Amino acid sequence: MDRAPVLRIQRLTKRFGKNTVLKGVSLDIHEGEIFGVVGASGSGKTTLLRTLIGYLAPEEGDVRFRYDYFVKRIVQSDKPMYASIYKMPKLSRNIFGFASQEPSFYKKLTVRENLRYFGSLYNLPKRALDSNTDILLALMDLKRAQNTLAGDLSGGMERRLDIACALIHDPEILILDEPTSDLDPLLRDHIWSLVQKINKKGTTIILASHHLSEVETFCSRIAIIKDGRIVDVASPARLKTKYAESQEIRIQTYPGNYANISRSIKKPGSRVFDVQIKGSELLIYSDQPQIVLHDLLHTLNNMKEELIDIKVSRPGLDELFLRITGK
Amino acid sequence: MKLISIIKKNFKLLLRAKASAFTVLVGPLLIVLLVGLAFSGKTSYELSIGYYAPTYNNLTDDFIEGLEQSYYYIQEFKNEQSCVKKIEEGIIHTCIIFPKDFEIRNEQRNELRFLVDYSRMNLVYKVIESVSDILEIESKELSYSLTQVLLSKINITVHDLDEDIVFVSDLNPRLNLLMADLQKANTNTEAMRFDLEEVSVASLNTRFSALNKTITEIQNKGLELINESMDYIEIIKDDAGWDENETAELEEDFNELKNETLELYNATPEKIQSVVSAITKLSSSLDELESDLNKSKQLKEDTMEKLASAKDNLSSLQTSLSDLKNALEKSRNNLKSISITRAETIVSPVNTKIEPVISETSKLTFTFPFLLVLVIMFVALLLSSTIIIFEKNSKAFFRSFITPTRPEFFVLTTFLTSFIVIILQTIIILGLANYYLQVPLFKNALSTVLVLLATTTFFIVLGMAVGYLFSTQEGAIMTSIVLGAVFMFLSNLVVPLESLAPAFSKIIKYNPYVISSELLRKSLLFKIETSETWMLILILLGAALIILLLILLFQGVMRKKRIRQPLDMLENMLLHPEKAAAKIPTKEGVSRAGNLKLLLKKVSDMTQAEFEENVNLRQNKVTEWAKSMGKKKLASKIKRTLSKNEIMKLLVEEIKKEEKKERKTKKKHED
Repeated sequence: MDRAPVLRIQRLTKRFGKNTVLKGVSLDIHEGEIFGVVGASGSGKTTLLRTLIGYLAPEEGDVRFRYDYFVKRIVQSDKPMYASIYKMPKLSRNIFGFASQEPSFYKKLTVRENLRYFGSLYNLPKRALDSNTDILLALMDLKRAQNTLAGDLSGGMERRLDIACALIHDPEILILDEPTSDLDPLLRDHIWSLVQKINKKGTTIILASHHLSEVETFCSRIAIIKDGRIVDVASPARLKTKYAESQEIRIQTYPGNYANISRSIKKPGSRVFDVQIKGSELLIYSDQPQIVLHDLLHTLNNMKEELIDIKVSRPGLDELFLRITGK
Repeated sequence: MKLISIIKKNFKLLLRAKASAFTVLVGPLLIVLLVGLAFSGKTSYELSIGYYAPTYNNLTDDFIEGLEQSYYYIQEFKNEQSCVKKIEEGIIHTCIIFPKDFEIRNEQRNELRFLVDYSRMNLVYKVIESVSDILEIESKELSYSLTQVLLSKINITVHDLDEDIVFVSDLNPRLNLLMADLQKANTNTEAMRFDLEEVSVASLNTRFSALNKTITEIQNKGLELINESMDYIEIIKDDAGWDENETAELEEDFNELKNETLELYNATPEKIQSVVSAITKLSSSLDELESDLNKSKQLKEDTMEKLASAKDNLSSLQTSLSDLKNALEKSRNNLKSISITRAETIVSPVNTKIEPVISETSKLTFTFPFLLVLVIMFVALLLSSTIIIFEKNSKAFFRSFITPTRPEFFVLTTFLTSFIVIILQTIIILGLANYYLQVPLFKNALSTVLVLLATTTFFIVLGMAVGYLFSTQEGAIMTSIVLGAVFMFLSNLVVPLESLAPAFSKIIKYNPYVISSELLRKSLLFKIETSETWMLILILLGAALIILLLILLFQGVMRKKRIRQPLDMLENMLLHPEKAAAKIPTKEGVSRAGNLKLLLKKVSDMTQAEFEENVNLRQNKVTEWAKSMGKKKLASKIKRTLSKNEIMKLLVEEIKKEEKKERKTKKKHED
């Protein structure tokens, strides 16, 4: 595998009026990887992805694709050659496939008709169109529904059709914006397994999600985005190592005067990083849980709080995500 | 409360969908304004009248002058065909064809021919009426003039007759005098006595006759006696021996002669006496006669005098009668000099005949071009705008957009889709019209096809422009209908353009519906060449091209501004609070929900679990936050709900209110 990135996102800044949604975002995407962009709602994920494919024009920065890689049949070069997607829109649009948060196809066309229609927009020859359609119908498990109107499909099938539409021209890079949002766990698994299948066929995948725990299994690298800035980019394992220095203490007490407990244990100089009230539980983060536990039990005793349940664990990626993004 | 709330919401949504609101609220007003302006301040029609006169004379000139004195545009033509051509082209509205040798004569029937275009159904009768009015005035004037001549002659004759009557009246006493003279002569004549006593004269005659006879008889008897005596003498002589018988007979004869002579003798004095008496009587009668004759002489003189007077009178009368005859002859000649004597000619010296320039008589045939263009216009506007809106609002729009397909290509495909649909519809309509209405499709096939193509192209492009300008289907449909209605109202279909205000009329001539329908009307109903329509077809196509370029320009601009941060962000929040809230910028340096926007963002960012933790039956922290900001009313409203969306909507509404207040305060400060 050629290690030079196939896509270079350079200092992207995108504004909507006075609101700067992307603030100098820079990323490199490598061939064949599944790259996750994780951030809270409104952090700029979708804007980033849409700017990436040239749907939105950035105020500053550029997105450059590796010209020699994508147009390898024509250009032979030892050194990687990059070109701006904004200057070569037609070519760049053939490179990307995009499946947005909401299914984007014609509900009054059948599954096959949708695929053929979008394939024709990519100027696919008839043979390639037929072949790609059949392959995708099989891959997405939509063969039986190929003559069904898209509007009559279930949520999972819609999502699969949308991804199929994004893949009809066999793009080198597939971009998935929140591919599993609003889906039940079973469908989510199905979609993720599809994503893996597509990736195994050699397609580079960039996906956005606000569920860090969900993407950690599949992504080779993850970028955390917060308020339009990339907070960190690393593999899931590296992120865990980097941010999971603290452990999590979950307690449940009665009568549960968690606010007072929080104030009591979060004294200056204590080893408590953070305290969160989550439902009927109090979550305490610390790199020295045994010391904190000692103080906590003492406080509970003083406050006449009855301890119902207590757990000590390392935090999951979701918790890490919340901590990283400050949520 | 709920009612008001829903109505309020409806108004907000309506007003915030600016384009739709503009169409719904301003569109009808615009129609009223335009139509009002177009039809205001004018009661007459801007008509153009053409005429052709094979020969010119005073009468023709009078009529032409009459036409020129009207407020219509009058144009002269060198022949009938060129005049008809201009009607077909719609340049003039009617053609008046004067008859050859247009003169008012007894034996001549003058017929002015009007050539009109019945396919201009709502104008043709006005044209006929208007031109008839003008010509009727002229005809009336002519009739008046003829009657005037007649009356003048009659007046002269009456005047002459009056004089004659005076003359005749003058004759009467003269005739009376004459009569009196003659009467007198008559009386005188009657008084003249020329008769003698009838008897006296007759008896005198008779007596003289008798006397004469008697004398004659005496003479005869004497003679006879003498003769017999002679005879006897002879006999005596001869025979000398008389016997007795012979002597007796001689004696008897002498006795008899003696008696008779005695009788005669006796009778003669009586008879003489009678003659004397008769002569006496005659003398007396002659005296009387003389007297009478004297008297008669007197009377004769008198009569002669009267007769001389009567002669004079009669001579004078003869002269007078000769004068009277002359006068009557003059009157007769005067009356004879009236050339126009036919009552029909005097009453209606000029007749008009209305002739259509085309033979078709069905009103539907005349209406057909207008209806066809109307159908094309509405279908094109609605169909193309709807296709655009469908595409724009389709979830597939994004996917189509990111394919390597130029936007112009989508514009072209939308155009072609609409074009195919409308052309197919048009073919079907034309086929049916050709079959059922006998609309002549092939009279100017090329011209008709070009007009239909240009019309379809223009209205599709216009509909596409509407589709690109509006974001909602209802807005696009409303605008399309409003546009179509404006085009239709300001066209010949409803009211003739000639009746519009002149300034508007000039502009409205270029109303695409007017151009299209007029072109199609001419192409279908008249023999019009492509060369005569190409300019207007080019105008339509040129306008379509300009609109198309504007669409592409607009698309380019919109592409650059795509997914811009909407200025009315808070308005969007009402519809999509969750999405909108995510776009609210955080104020740096503010660590807590110190203002409503941050509070909204906080609420929006909460997961459902977090929200339920903060807002449940036991507690409502958002209420507390609102209270802490001094928003008691808002807190009270928030307290009533456990729905995240509801709370966010309440917050958005409150933000709007706050912003409004802030703007007012700012304005006050600035003032």
